[in-house]
Amino acid sequence: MGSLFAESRCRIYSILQKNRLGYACRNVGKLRFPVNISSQRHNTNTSTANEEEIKQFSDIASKWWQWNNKNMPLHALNMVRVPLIRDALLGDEKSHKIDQPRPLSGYKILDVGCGGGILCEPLARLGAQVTGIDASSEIINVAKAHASKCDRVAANVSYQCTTIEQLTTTENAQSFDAVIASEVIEHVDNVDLFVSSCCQLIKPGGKHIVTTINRTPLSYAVMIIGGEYISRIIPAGSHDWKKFITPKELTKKLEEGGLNVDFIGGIFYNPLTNNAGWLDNTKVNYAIVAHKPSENYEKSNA
Amino acid sequence: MLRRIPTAVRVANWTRSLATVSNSGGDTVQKTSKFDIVIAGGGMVGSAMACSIGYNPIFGEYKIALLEPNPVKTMAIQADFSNRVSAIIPGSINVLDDIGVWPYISELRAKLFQSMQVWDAASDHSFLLLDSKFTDEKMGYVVENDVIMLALMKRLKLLDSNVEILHCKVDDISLQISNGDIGNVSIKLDNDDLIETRLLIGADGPQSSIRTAANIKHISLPYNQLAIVATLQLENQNENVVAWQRFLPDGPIALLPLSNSRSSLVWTTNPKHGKMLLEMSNEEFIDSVNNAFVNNDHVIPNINRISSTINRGLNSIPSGNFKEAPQSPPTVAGIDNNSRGGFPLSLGHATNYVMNRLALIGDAAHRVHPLAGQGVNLGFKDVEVLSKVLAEAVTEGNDIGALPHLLKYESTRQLQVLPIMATIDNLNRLFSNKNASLALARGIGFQFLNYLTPLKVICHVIPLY
Ligand SMILES: Cc1cc2nc3c(=O)[nH]c(=O)nc-3n(C[C@H](O)[C@H](O)[C@H](O)COP(=O)(O)OP(=O)(O)OC[C@H]3O[C@@H](n4cnc5c(N)ncnc54)[C@H](O)[C@@H]3O)c2cc1C
Ligand SMILES: C[S@@+](CC[C@H](N)C(=O)[O-])C[C@H]1O[C@@H](n2cnc3c(N)ncnc32)[C@H](O)[C@@H]1O
Repeated sequence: MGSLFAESRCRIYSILQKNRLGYACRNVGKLRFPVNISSQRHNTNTSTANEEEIKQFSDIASKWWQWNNKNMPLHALNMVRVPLIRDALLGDEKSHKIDQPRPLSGYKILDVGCGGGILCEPLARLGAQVTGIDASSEIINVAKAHASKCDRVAANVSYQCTTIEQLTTTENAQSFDAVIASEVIEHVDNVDLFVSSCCQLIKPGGKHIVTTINRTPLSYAVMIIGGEYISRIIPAGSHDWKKFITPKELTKKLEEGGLNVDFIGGIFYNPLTNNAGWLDNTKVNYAIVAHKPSENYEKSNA
Repeated sequence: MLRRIPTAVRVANWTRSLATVSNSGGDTVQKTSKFDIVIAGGGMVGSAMACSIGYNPIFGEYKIALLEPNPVKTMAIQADFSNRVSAIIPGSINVLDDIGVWPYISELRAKLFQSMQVWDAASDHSFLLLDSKFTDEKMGYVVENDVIMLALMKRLKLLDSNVEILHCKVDDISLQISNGDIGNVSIKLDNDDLIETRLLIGADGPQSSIRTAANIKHISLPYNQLAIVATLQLENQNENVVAWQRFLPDGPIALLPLSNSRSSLVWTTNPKHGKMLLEMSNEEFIDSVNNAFVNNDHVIPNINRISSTINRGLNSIPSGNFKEAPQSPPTVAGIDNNSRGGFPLSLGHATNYVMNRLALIGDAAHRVHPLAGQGVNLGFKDVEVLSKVLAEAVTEGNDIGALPHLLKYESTRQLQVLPIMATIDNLNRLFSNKNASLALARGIGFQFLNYLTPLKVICHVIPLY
């Protein structure tokens, strides 16, 4: 039955994270969108981790992998981001590697703010050596426990509770073929430090893939409409619309980090069908792929 | 949200079945082998599924098992034709070709049929001729089920390293869930071994015990009909390339070519008459078959008159279509020894084809009336669609048994299967009826089909044989 309805063409572009329900309710009825917002948060924090945010994610740690739970959008988002990351890494090699069981063998990937590993696991299954880091130790424990249930995943993934700026002090700089920050940047403090640390850990020739939410009137409206019925699907987080970053702002920061932006694309998520896909505008969710220029790039184990 | 409700139900149902097993699981610690994909049931559909994923290099690193309790019947082709045959349509030939099985079948024994004539006992003028000369495609091949199985086994032998064949039966299954987080499916085998898998494919036939264990709702309707099968010898042993099907009040009788001298009979009738047909002497049986194809006892005179009028009317339309006079079916002269058999018929449909870590294919998911020869063809299409969905899941790094991509298989197949099931069921009900107005309706329907509809369309809408 449900599957028939899945075919219906109702497109509700939702956000992937949402403000607290209270916040949404307060705003219902006055769909006025705050003007004069700059994404520049004058934050002198030396850490990118916002305690309140991390606590909110830690609270739902045990539910991270529950099916039919509030993380369904993150599962659905894999339909878009896994092929995006895979194809960005494989480049011209795609045509002859795509039919192999482990096309990403030999690639080292860092997933920043990995959560329970919803994105790490498919990348590990594709053969990549994945390091997942998250600021919440509860979530990292959940990620480890879940990975241990599938041998194919367990062999290829390792998790650490840390932040990206800490990692730059321990990990050899420039050691990853790809650094991924998916649905994270909108939760962090000190975005500049976050972005520059990510850029630092990318190999010359390596890729940076970011997915996040744009700061537009539409994304603001969707958050409010979303408050009425998406609240059950999306984990309550202290989602502050003001923290959202536009593709233009992000591009600028990535370029300051020494990267060239290759691709910007809009993404939709339909909560009724739990489907995600590409969209021709970046007004709500979007993805950016950038690379660190290099003349002679070599992949990790190659 | 609509999609989310069934998901919730699907998890809940499974959890219930977990309770059954943890109680019966006992305290003995057994070592469990782990698989990525287990196919339960090595009939035509399950074995084709095993060939399909075993053959695709993308599953190269996956551990795959095929469970089938019954030993393989024959490893060589018998001289005599088997009485269980399938009419394989071009779509299925493509599927079997893609998995490297069709070459073995055509090498062994398969009979091409070029056209098919369907007509109604209530009126001489109600007939439908489907001929490959009207379409770009072949009509199909008649193949013994044993030949299909033998070809599938030959292919599986070559895939030995990829697909492990276990000769045992599934006793019970359960889904491991801890904290709402879904683990593997545990499978208890009849030899008391336990195995685990990330995806279980249920291909265990119409009485699927896997479907029952997973609490999947199943709608089933017994037809008050018996299918009588036999291998018949023909009087004239020249070209035998037409499949014949005549609708009698108690059900259709069909003759499918096996060779120039043999045809296979599938005669659906009421249980009492069926029993008589099984018990009578060979001579009486042959007379009954010949009579069933030609007698005029069932002609309803008014219908005959009306439809011949319509016929004349239609003939005057310069429609560019052609009208061919109905030919008569070949006369049956004998019957192969021990080839007579009878099977009760039913219609069945599973409300869900998938659950977390579970997919049903073939007769376990849907069983149709054999009048349209769709049974195994529907199953082969399941194999094609499910294999494609699973391969896609692998290229996206998905957990092979995760519900979202399995739902794609379900919605694709249910959209295709349900209309076909309804058409077949309606055809059977429409024709197995002595009511004059229904007979008139179908008579007119046939005539219009013959005249006005491009046959290609009919072949696709009602892919009879
Ligand atoms: C009289 C008649 C005529 C027909 N004519 C045609 C025709 O012309 N064309 C056509 O396309 N179709 C025809 N069909 C239908 C066709 O035969 C079926 O659709 C087809 O056989 C279904 O294949 P399957 O593999 O799904 O199931 P099955 O052939 O029923 O195979 C199920 C397998 O699962 C195994 N199994 C059962 N339980 C378990 C368990 N617990 N654990 C492990 N294994 C198990 C069984 O041993 C068996 O091998 C006809 C059917 C009938 C009755
Ligand atoms: C919405 S989740 C996204 C999870 C994962 N990337 C995915 O898409 O499946 C955001 C995660 O980022 C983590 N996080 C937030 N700020 C962080 C920071 N500064 N450093 C590391 N992790 C952080 C949170 O703990 C949370 O697990």
